[in-house]
Amino acid sequence: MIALEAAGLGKRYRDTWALREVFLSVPQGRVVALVGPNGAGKSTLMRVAVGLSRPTTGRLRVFGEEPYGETLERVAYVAQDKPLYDEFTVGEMIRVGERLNPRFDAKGATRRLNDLNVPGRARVHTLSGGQRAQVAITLAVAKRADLIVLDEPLASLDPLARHEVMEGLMMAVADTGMTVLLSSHVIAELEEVCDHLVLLSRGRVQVAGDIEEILQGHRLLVGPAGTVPGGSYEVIGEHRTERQTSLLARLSDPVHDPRWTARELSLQDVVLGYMRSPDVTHYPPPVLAERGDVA
Amino acid sequence: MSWLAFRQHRGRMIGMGLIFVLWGGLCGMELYAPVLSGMSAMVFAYIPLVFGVFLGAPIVSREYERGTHQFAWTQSVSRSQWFLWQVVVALSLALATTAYISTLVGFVTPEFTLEVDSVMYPLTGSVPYAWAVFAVATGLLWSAITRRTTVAMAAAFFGVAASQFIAEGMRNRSEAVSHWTAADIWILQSVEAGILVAIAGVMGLAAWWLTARRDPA
Repeated sequence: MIALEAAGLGKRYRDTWALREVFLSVPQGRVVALVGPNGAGKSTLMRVAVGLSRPTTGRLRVFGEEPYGETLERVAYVAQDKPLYDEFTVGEMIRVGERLNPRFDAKGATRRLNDLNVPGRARVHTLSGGQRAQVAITLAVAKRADLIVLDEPLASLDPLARHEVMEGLMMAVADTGMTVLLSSHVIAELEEVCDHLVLLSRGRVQVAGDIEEILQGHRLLVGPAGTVPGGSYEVIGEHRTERQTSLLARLSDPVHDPRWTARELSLQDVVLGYMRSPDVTHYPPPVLAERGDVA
Repeated sequence: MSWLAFRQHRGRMIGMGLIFVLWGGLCGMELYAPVLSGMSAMVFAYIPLVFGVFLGAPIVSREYERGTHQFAWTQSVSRSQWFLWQVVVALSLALATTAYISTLVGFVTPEFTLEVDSVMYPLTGSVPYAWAVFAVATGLLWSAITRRTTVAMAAAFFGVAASQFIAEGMRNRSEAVSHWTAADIWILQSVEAGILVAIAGVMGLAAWWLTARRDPA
């Protein structure tokens, strides 16, 4: 089952395109890291995925349906600034969730916030940034949606709160098997929890795929300056000194060149390499049927 | 859904409660000090302004300003349903307040002949309710257009005030032609109410379209 599918998706704000020709297919159950430089279209993609924005061109589907009406039951969303009703108490926010969502787990939400020492009687505006994030994310999880979309859930949190938020989220994922789409600037933190990567650049998908496969397919090739390793690969980025050359490369086959060594890369290295060369793309080609849908 | 709309209107309910108390006091004073007679009826002209500014204008714009539309519209409830309940609660508050005031004023006002320029004209029949609906709709439309509560409040204030002036002018013009008597003035009142509610309906539809169909910024 495909959790999230975009075909020829474009979104224009006045005369600038925030998203353009986005093709994407995220299988159910993945924890997706949505990364990209500021202004790449991450937030716009998320807003389209939860039905807040309508596409200008193409389409986006969540579990095969457009994200409006009844499909909203299957999607939960936490916006970047964690909007909640400031004058409500935490308990009242849980009640709102219960009233507005048929599958809502009010007991679970109450228990979780108790465990996190967020008192139910506290007014939302008195909460710390970390507590506010916990409440917003707890409500989204308690909706028991099949896809949960979190826009920069870790921004403005201290390291301990970051850890707790991610831990809570991963527990929920383990319990329910839901699909998660989360954006972040801190790629190192995503590597531990995410298994799928979507890198957006200038409103387009630059890289998409399972993280394990992406890491398997990329190597840092280091060899003497002035030489080129033999083999079949694509260079994404390179760094030259007087004595040696380093290539960030996507390999089709292992490189067998005794003068060159191939080192494994972290997700951060790969992502940064692609971000530095925004013209290089790498994602599974869109399925023909999807193209047909657009035309 | 209704629970959220009611909970969000709690502050505004308290505000309307204050109007209840104020009007009770005003009418009570009139009973004991006949010098003040007719005051509560005269001040009634400002009540639609209060509805437009405090009940209509905040409905959509307050959500945009605080970002809570991103919460409210991503629950399992459609934007149209959300909108409907907000409007229902605001309208109920306005209509309840109107019913209370017009009953109370009628109670303390001695016998009168209903004429076009009498202070009781806007307080009798369907006219006060139509103005309540019209005022809320005016505030609501500006709220959906501007997405700024203060701007919507100011626009609602001047919009309702200007409409009151225009309505008064048209009433006087029809009086000059038809010379309405106490027996048939209900016809004029019904026509006025009908026009107001029709315009309110169009404004409400426009506000719904701007809320449910237009992208939030």
